[in-house]
Amino acid sequence: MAVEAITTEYIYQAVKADILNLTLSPGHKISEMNFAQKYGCTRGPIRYAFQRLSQSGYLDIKPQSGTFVPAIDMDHAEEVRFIRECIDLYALKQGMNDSAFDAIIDLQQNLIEQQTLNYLKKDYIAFNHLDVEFHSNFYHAIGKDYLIPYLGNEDIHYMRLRFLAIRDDINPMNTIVQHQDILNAIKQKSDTLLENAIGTHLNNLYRIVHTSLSKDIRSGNP
Amino acid sequence: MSISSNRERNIFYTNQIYQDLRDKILRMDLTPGSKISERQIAEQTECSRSPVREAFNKLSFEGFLDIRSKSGSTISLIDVTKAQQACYIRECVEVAIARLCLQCRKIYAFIPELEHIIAEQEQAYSSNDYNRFFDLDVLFHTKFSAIVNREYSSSYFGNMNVHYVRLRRLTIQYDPDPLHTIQQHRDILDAYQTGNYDYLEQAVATHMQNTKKVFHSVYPHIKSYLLPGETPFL
Repeated sequence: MAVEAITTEYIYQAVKADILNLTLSPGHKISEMNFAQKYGCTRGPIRYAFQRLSQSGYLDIKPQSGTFVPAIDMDHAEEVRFIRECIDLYALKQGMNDSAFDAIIDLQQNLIEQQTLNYLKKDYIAFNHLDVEFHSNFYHAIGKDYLIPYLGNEDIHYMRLRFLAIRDDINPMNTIVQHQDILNAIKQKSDTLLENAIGTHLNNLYRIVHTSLSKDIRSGNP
Repeated sequence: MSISSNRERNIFYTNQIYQDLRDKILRMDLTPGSKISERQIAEQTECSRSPVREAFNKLSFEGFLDIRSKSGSTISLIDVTKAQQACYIRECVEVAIARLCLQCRKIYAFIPELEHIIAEQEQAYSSNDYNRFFDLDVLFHTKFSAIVNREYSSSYFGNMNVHYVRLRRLTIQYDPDPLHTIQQHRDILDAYQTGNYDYLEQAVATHMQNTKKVFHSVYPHIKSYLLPGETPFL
């Protein structure tokens, strides 16, 4: 029983990660049997993992037709992005003017350099992790860690859209340049520069997704 | 009756019971800390226990209820920390919406309507109708988000919402001077008239921090509704 619970947990995490990094493409149908073969286990733990994934919105279990990776819901992703923009604009401006970020400037600069390395290695997963870390550090510095979940890092739709944008960006150096712009604005303590930098950065998503018109979104529409 | 229609019927009852209890909790008809039993709800609604249990589980998952073994469940106490967090997120969102409203000139066509809401709030205040006052407050703020097509969904605040909404209601009810809320609404409209973004941000932020400001004087009246422990805002 305990072993089965561990297997379930392992599969839950593995499948969740594969959904978020688009290894399992949006709209794709998946079967318990294939996954049981893939992970070399019985169907029991696979079924439990799928049920949990469905409860947290990562899978759609449709009776009589099968289990699907949900298509990317663009309206939902935009709602999440908007809340994030509101929070980033307001809280970072406040933190900057309270000098809360002075102590983390070097740390953030270092993350930007690591991101550049990941970009050169085409390691998008690590790139994405550093992206999350860069933004989270600001909230940690102002003692508002509770805001981090509202940046959409756990949201299946927004996260996949972001992953897509990072993967398909013709010029991913843009993201890195934008992080640098945010950091520079904070160094200079300029409201206007910060607002512009955040606005540009968070709308990056659409610049890339609209130009690439990715197949994942088109084929993902149910 | 086929099995599937029986199941559909139960899902329907679960949703009805869920919605009804959720509204009553948010409107404080069921007060924080009071007891509620599955059996009693099943009798009132003439339902079997299982849809009631489902509804209770959902409400508990979303922070409306605390299910405590067989001895019964209670309406959750207000978690001021969560309310404070929701309050801050709302401040971020309202300020951003105000900026969008100022950029899109459509807002000016709505000023008379917004002034009307303020006038109605004054009436609600003079007749001590707190529920009406609260609903008008929600209506006032929803207008702005609707103008720029950014309607709120309560899911923005997730499980913090139940705490925030109830704290706001209590704050309105026990506020020693609710007229300043009305004045703050006027200040927001005045700031739109000046067209100055900094004034507007200031007016909206001040209004959003109201819950925090009056909490101190409201606290003695509402203490029994709050989750014990460290209380922010004090």
